[in-house]
Amino acid sequence: MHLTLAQRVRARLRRVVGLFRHDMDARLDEEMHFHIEMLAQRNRRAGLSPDDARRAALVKFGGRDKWTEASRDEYRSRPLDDAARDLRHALRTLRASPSFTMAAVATLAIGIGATTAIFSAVYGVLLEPLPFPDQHRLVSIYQNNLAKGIERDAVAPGNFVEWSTRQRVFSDIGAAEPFGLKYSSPEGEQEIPNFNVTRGFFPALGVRPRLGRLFDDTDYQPNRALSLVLSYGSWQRRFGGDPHIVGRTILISKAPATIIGVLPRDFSYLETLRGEMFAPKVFDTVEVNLRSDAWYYAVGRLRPGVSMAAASADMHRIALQLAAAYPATNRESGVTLVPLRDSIVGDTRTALFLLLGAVGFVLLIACTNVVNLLLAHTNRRAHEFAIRVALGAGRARVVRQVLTQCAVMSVIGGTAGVAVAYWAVGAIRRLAPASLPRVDEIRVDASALMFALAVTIATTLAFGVMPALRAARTDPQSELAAGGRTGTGARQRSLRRTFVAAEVALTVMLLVGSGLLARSFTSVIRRDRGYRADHVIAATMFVWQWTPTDADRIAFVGRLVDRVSHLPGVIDAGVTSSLPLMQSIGVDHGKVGIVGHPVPPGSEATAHITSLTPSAFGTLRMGLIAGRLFTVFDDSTSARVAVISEGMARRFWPNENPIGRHLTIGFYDRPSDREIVGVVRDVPGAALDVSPEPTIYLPHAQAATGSFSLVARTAIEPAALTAELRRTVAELNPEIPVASMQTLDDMVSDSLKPRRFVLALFGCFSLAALALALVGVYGVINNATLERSREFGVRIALGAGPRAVIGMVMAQGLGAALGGLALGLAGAAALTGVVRGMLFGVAPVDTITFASVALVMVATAALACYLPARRATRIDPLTTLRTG
Amino acid sequence: MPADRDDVLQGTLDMMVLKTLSLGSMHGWGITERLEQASKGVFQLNQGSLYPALYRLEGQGLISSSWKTTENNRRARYYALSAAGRRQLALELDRWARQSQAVNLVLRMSPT
Repeated sequence: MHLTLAQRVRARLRRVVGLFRHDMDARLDEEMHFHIEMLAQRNRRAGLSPDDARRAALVKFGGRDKWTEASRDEYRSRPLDDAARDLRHALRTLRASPSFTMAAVATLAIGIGATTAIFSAVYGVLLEPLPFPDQHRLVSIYQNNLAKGIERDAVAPGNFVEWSTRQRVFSDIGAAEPFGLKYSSPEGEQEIPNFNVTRGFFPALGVRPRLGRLFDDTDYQPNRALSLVLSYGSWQRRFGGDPHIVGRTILISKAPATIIGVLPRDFSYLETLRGEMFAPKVFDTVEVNLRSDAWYYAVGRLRPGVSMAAASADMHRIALQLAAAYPATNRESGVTLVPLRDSIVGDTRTALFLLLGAVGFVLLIACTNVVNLLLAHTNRRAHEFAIRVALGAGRARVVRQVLTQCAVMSVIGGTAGVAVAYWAVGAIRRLAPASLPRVDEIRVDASALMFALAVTIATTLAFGVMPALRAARTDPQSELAAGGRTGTGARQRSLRRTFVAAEVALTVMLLVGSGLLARSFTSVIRRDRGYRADHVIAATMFVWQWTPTDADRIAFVGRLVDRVSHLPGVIDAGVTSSLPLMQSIGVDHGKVGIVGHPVPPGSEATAHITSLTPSAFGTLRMGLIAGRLFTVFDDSTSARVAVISEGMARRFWPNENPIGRHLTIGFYDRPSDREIVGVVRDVPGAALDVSPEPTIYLPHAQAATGSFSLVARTAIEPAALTAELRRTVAELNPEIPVASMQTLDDMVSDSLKPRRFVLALFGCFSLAALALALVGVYGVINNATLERSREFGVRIALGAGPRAVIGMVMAQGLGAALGGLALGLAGAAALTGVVRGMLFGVAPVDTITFASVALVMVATAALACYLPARRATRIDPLTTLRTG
Repeated sequence: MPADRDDVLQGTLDMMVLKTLSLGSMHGWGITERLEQASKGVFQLNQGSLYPALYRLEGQGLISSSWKTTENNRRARYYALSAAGRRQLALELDRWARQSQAVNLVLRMSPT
């Protein structure tokens, strides 16, 4: 049987109330029947005929129906019954005005749905406990260099070794190395980003495997075949969730590796993608003593009872010891401890709370709209309420009736809202940038449903109380005397104006927010990058294992660049140790000494150091400002040279020509003197919105690195070159893994994804708010106009022209809207602190943004007022005056 | 309305039902018979009015009810006074005594 929701709800309710009532009705009937029969029996004994006896008995008993009804009133559960009646009434009322109901329910569904979806994201990412036991004891351990303003850096392997042996505060401490495995899958060889983890890593996190086991001491013995632990996702995706996966052997770098375990489904650590496969990490003899380069993530589990402060103090003690023991690398090096959750969540916290705030505003506007709708609705029903009150309905009953109606709308709206939330969460997960941590945790789960329920109840109260009280205040005498023609009181008119102002103010704040974000976005995109990203593909590889000496590397790079340059479709190609937008993959920071500018030891300047082939400048179209770029003659046998960035030149030679000057670079602890031969434009660093660092470029032939990116500028679609590039590398050396292959355009786009994500959601909310505000203002002004139609009729009859009527309506609506606008702009200015961290290249109180928002808002409000105003001019004075 | 057949005062019916039931449990018909007997026919109840009172008192927990068999082997609902009903009856009787005494005093008032 197919029932509407309303019918089903009613049937269910009737059953609950009815069971009990049915029993009682039967009992009452039987008792009365017995009673009347006994009376008739007595009458028969007194000598009446059976018919007369029965008739007399019925008379003596009195109106049986009346007493049945009176008795029922005694046993019927009053509150429950009233509730059922209110519910029936509410459903009837809502059905009677479908457009009102649809508008209110749709508004609520959008408001509740969007809020629930964002809450799901906030809860999943920020609030839900990490899937680790005693997660509050988990700490991410970073190296810092506060002198250089670096608070959280990865850890150098040598430092991690020292920490592990000297520390007293962690029960377990482990490190993970972002790495890549060459996996020979059935579809061919592919590079899988993975983590190599030290012995303490899994014990520190306290993970238990879903299948098999995690690493133990045997896995860490040297020269042992590789053991692998899979993530749940990789087990499902790559191995079809094979229940017998444990013990299976796969080929990694053409050598057999055994899968020994699978992690639980909810396991995630820092970079979810990398956590596909875990391999054991044993430091080699170089790494044990390597303190100049940091690329490990370290995590520790605090011993029970050890506080963060105590742990920090202990690690500080160790940092001081290391600084004394290894001044060359560790003099400025300290340790930063951060709760694991914070390090996972990182910068997304601000963005997510911002979005939650924005969606809260949307919900508020939605509620305001529904209150407006309801107020208008209850006004139209004022006559009905007056009759009810006159007939003796308690005011409490009237309040309950209106509240029941609100609750019914909320429940329907909330249910639809949950459906909206399910859909929206799916969209969020698809849209979310890879950098949004724990994105898999985002789902509409029990807590999200609880949240939706709470929001639904809150909205019911929020939008229901005022109309309910208003309905209860109905004065039957004046209402009925006026024959249902009373308008709204001044008090209510001012209330509605307040609503209009509030809606406009909230919308303005959201619009300003998205305006600022959009302006930041465009200024990030438009900003001078110092190079051209289009038509460039970059392949990153690690060659140090196969090219032990500088000469080997230089030779390999020479052959590689030569071959790639001659591939069809390639314009030119080069090699660079770091790409724009990427964390450097080879050489990192180096201490810089400026010859002729002596500084006290310990306060040397630092710069980002990139080594590249001469052709790479051209491939990336980096702009030369002064001097020259490298040539093939700048090789290992010629004079040491360097090219510096604009920012570097400005900083160290503010009013001089740097060309021909000398600097020294502490490059892997081998300071070398170089002559500056050229200056190039600045290139932004790790992200588009981060200011460029002072950078020194060195010829690859004079500073060979074991890991680098090949960049090729193509005449064709750069992604089409992927297979060709892999083949070329394999031809040179089939062992060398290509860690990643991506076009620079994609990298730029990826780096913008978090910003685009926040902007897209914020923009959606603002548009929703604007649409709701438009509808809301229109509704209020329209109702006000309808209520004043008699007045307008009279005015028109007295000769008021359309212009005057439009003016009157517009003045009323725009007045309130302008008040809201002023309030909203002031609020936005006060709240810019919240978004400040997400702005780029735009002042928080940006005149253009504020002005355009004001313009958009006024235009929207004008449109919302103009439509009812136009209608008012068409009022036929005769009709209104006759019916009025 | 015949003058000798007084309508039962609102509120006093509940008290009289409680009083009747204090003599022992009985069914609705039995209660009306006892009431008419006891009032010597003055209270000719509109007998159906008993039932709202019974259901009200039961709802208040002053009486309880159960199905039993009459001496003529018929099924009937028997009502009995609960402990709360017994207390309530005592209160009501006390109040009634004071009220009727006061009313009598007023009615016997003579010019002095």
